[in-house]
Amino acid sequence: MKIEVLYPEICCLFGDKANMRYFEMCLPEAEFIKTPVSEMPRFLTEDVDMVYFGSCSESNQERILSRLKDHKERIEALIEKGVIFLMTGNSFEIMGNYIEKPDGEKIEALGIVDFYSKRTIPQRFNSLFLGKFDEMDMVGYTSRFSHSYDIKEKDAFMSATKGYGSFKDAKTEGIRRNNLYGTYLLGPFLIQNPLFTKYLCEQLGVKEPEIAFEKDVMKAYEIRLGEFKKDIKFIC
Amino acid sequence: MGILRYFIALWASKTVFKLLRLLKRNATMYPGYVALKICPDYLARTKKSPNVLCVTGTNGKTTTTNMVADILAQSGMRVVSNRYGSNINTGVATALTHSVNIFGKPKVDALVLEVDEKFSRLIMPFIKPDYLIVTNLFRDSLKRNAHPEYIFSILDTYVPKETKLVLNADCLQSSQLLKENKKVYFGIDKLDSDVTECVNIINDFSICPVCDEKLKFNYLRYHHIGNAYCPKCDFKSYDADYRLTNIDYENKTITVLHHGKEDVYPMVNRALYNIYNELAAISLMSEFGADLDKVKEYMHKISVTQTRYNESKAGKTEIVRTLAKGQNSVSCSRTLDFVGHEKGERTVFIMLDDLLERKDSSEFEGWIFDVDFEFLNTPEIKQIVLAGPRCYDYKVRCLMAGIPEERILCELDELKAVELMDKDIEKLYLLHDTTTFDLACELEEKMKVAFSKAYKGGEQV
Repeated sequence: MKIEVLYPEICCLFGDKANMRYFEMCLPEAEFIKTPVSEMPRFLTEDVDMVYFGSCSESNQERILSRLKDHKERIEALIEKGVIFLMTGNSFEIMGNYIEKPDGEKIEALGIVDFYSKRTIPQRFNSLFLGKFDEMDMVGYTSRFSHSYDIKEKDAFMSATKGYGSFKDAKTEGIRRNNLYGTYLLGPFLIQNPLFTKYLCEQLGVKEPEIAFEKDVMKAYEIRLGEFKKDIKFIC
Repeated sequence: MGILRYFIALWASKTVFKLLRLLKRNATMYPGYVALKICPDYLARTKKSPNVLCVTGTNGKTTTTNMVADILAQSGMRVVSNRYGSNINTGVATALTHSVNIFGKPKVDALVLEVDEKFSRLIMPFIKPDYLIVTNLFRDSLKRNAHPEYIFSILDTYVPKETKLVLNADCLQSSQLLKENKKVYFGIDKLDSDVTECVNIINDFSICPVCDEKLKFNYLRYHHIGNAYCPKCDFKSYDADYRLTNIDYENKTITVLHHGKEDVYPMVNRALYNIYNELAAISLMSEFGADLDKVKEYMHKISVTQTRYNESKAGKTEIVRTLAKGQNSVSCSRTLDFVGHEKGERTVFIMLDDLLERKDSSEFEGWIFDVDFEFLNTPEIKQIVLAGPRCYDYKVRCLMAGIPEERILCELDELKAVELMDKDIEKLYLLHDTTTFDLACELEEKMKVAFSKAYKGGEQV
């Protein structure tokens, strides 16, 4: 099993790095390839089972787009083939049609999923999140300078119960196509959502997966879920 | 009209201050808030003292500001500082109110201001500092500060071109600020503990800003603090004008080399991050033209404020209460590095939850996964107590750091954790957040009683 972590030196804001550190502990047999920004992604030339992108700054998002824009067809083909793409924080915005800057300038994105994103710097949006994916309660946190719009229902990752979805009042959160999962939730998403982590392991072919430190990860998840289901402040 | 509005604002601000003090309230922010409400350009309109010295940066602002203010006050200058108050625009406005008389004339010799880096946009262009220390730039609270690049762009845009900068040559991020300004750099020479590959989870400056190549380090201290160069192009760290050439932990001194002359200063605090703060303060004092022999004398009388660091004794146990700013993974990692490298058997009690968020919300704990808990993975640390509602998140993080489960005590209730923890230990580090300071003091008192009880008549009970 081969998992490529793209540009970990710049796609690592807000605790996102912990996702693949933790996933390595869940899948000790898997090979994790960490591709720096100075190199071309390995998935362009070889088969991988999963690709991970974490949160990055706005200028690094543009840097990544300039690197990947010539490889749209390959990325699209991998997604159609069922390769897992997990994208946390603002990283999934590169899959849309364009990203609009506060001055109105539009940065062309990969155009793989039909939506667009709009930056609002310096206005920042912070929110807890409670939603559902495939009957699983999903929890997390978003903190960002942008929203994404026009995501079709068939392309949405999760339903949003409380907190910001893809935009302020959106009923869905993130994007999904086959095994591409993009979410604005950031930080240790896989640690916060152990049920989804198990699901991902199953998608990768692991039968009855056991995740690392399961007892304590589940306990932390249950405590958080209990708090999120109470009447607490979500927008902060 | 503008002048009249300014004076109304000034008088209202002074009146509000007096009223709040009569009510024994902490009047550090509201007088400034009132002034800005009445006169939005209050910061620009207020006549400044002859010297305006500011400190900003992610970590070390308060300690450095206090040192600078203390040194100037000891030298006989009349100083106004926002040391006990807010470092945002309202706190700075309050300090300005104190710095002038009722006719708006400056009544002090120096304004020493801690300025929040994010709020610099609303402060720097109007107070136009003569000198500005930028201690460092790291990632901080994500919801407030987003990421270091964002904060960098604020400072780079809003600090006036006339301000002379005192920058940290070892901080790859902040040393790149404001290319056109006059500046000096301070830095610490290579230390025995330095490495050439980053051991920290966070390194926000690992690639060359010119060509994207991975940087190489002549020495790397922590995160992106070190001396680097690009193996592919000309990019490299700046040379320090004020070089700390020796740290003598035994005699508690530091040696600073400037223009070929070495001066020895008392070490205010042994934590490396505080040594950086002291070096920054010394560099500023030198640029300011202070008598450095006097500065050495004054440094003897300076200590890090008790809200940040305190030592006490209970039974045979020495209790060290120290701040490890929650939601600030670098600050917290620095504290864990310090605690992890201390000597002797010890316990670490961690209570870093944000009490304000706990009241009506739930804290995002993602930041703790950027903290280097690996520093606590040493057999000399006999127990790690993780207390508060996020204790299981902390536990997962500790387990990821390879810390054996049997050394971890996990308890949702901080006060109960004190009852449950082992008492037979020489040293205890109590790590708290700014929001848990009062609770930490309460726990410290409870610990003193519990540890004294457990050690009666010179023997462990």
